[in-house]
Amino acid sequence: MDITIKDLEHLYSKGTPFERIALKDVDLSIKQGTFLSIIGHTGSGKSTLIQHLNGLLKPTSGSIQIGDFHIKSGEKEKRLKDLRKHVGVVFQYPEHQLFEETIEKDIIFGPMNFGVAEDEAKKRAAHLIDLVGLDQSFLQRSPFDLSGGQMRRVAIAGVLAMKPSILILDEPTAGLDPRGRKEIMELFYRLHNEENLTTILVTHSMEDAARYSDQIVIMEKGTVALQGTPVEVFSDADALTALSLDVPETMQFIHRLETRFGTSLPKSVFTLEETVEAAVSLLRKEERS
Amino acid sequence: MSDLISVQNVSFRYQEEQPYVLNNVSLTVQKGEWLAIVGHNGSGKSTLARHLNGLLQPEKGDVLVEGYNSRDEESIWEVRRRVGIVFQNPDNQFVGTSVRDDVAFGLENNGVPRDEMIERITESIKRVKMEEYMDQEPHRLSGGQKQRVAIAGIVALRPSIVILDEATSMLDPAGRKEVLETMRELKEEEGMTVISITHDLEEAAKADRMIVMNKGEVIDEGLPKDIFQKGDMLEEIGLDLPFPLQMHRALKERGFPLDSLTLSQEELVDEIWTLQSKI
Amino acid sequence: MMQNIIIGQYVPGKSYVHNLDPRAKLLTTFLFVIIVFLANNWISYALLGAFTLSAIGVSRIPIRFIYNGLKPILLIIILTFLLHVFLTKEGPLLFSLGFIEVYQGGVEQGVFISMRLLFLIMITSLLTLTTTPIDITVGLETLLGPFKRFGLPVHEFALMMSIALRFIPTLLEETEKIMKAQAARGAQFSTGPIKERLKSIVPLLVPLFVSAFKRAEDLAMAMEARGYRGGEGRTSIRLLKWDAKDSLLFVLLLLLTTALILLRS
Repeated sequence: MDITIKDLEHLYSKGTPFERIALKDVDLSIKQGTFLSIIGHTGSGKSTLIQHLNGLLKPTSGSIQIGDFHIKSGEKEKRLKDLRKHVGVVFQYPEHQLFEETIEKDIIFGPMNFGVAEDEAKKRAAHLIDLVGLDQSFLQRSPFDLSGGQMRRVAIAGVLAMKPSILILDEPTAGLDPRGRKEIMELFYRLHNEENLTTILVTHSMEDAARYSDQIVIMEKGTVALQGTPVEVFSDADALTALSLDVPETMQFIHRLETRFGTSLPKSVFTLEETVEAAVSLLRKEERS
Repeated sequence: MSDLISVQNVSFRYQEEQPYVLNNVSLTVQKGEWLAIVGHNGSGKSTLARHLNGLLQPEKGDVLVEGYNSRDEESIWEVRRRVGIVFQNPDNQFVGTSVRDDVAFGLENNGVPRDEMIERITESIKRVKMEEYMDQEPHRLSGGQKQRVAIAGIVALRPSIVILDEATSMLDPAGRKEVLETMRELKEEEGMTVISITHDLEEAAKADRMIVMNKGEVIDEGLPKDIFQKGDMLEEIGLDLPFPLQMHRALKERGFPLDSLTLSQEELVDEIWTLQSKI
Repeated sequence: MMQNIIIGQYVPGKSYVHNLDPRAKLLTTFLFVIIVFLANNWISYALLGAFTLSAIGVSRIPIRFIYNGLKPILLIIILTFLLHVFLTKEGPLLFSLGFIEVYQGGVEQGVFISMRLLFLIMITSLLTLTTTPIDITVGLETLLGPFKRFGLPVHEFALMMSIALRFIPTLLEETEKIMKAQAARGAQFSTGPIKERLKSIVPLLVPLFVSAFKRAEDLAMAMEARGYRGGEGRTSIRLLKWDAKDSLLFVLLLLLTTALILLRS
């Protein structure tokens, strides 16, 4: 399902003295299968934007089209529940949404709300618990006996169990330690590729955005300040500085090497390995000459 | 330098029959230093932090803060006044209905007379640059601002040590920077002793000294630059090496003889440059 | 919506009424509630009315706020009025229509009782409209202070109130977040028969309780770390100042009371 957002505007507390613009003039087009990262400071409108994508918030003007679902201001999309089945959202600190007696019951809560048969839902739960790195014995345990990191994995399984074709991730790794962060991001990336998902990641990590995304959107004060491929966005160091955002460390490093050696290196360098290759190429070049 | 805190052979578990969360831990904290205690989630570092101001008492061993034993009921309040903790969740430690009230809370508990209270509140709120928000309600503040108010609440008590117990882990990058800068200023200008409990090695890299914890034990202790030599050990216990160190190690593995370990990108680029000119 | 719950009904202002010591306001409101029952004739009710209206006037609270406070009980006032009009059979008969008979005493009683209710509500709303919940709490804490020696947990009660006030917005925000997260998992909160609706609220309530308990635990830890050890030996940043204007209000109330007693017939 492609996503097209046109002239989206959202006002909080419209028509009251507390009226405040949360989003303005947002135009975006996201093709099925894209990995999109949204970056921006707290209060830039990222969270407001993603809540429009499954009808949790309605535009005050403008429109959103997701596949054949239309969300317009003033009009009711009657198939809201249908839409939500296709759009899974992993909210910040998703472990706060756990409530069932057993982990299995919690994972099947979503799919069963959307009319999936219990047997099928349980099958999904059994599959997903492995996928998120826990084992079958967890299914019958209470979600409240787990560590924070494990709870997070269960909550994520609960969203994946709906088999969404669009997956929205709102800072899914906040508060995890480095190992947990890496494992969770790798999981999402693998799923993205295997299931041909459209993934929309809200993050503060320039490294994650650079490494996984096809497309990056930078939000500032409710509008889209920059968008493009990671290379395009992160090459514009001045624009990023103006928004007080950082360039990923790999690209900073490449830039430093370029300046020092007075040469130019490949631009799309987002992993440690690629950066090492670039540095090695410089050293080898000198060896040869 | 003298020992501000001395932890002697401390073991602790939350319940009997359960494994020890802290296992024979000994360490000292020196006056005026920035000490980073690192470890992954569940390594026992937060449990340790709670021993340092007497919120938890050791099952075996002793914790001494400027000579006061945390086991001693008489001196427990002396210990708590000397060691302030900024906790992880900015919301769950904000007691007052406004910034002023929250900073006042600790002073009220300690029976500070009102006139002096006002003076100390004004002074400590200025220290964390929150004077414009004096009467603001907590839900109108950002995470970073709430943590700065928490710091002010501690500073107002004139403590010897501030512990940041993963105090930046729920903040966005801007908030994190705010909080760490505030603490750095406090250390430099007031000579405050800081213990930062974290799993962020980049934050730890800027400390004067580092302690590495794993499974309830202190497994290493020393200067950051020495500890970072043991990159494999740090990664094994689930921590992430700062980028320049990862580069450094990878290049070495590829057979390039880089010398000293570098914590900054600039230095590493210089080293690569030097190496290249030697070849 | 949030706005209203946080600050209660408080309408910020700098009027004479706003600036009064909360203790003075609490005490006089209490006194007023009692003396309203002294009035038993037209003149004394007129006097109470004049007092109430001038208090509202001096407070500069827009009349619609007062009206909003009255709305929920307007029906009760009207009902009470009608009951008295139709059921009290005293004094001369005014008119009769079939089995309905209205006596002068009934009308009088009806008017008196509804005015009494009206004044009570107006004056108590004026208290909450011009005093922040936290000031009311502090005021109550000081006023009830002497009862501490009888084992009344006055300090604990006040602390509880102020923490509740502090956490209401936080918990509201949390509720909204959890509702959204469950809605995204297909939960519906607002449709279906009552039984279904009650069931559908479980996914909201359980996480809310879990999180509230976690917060309480964290908060208790943080308070202990900051040296909290109960009310003993504690000082307070909030200082209540009783000055001439508060005493003036008291004198006024005493005059009103005396007048009401003298006017009783």
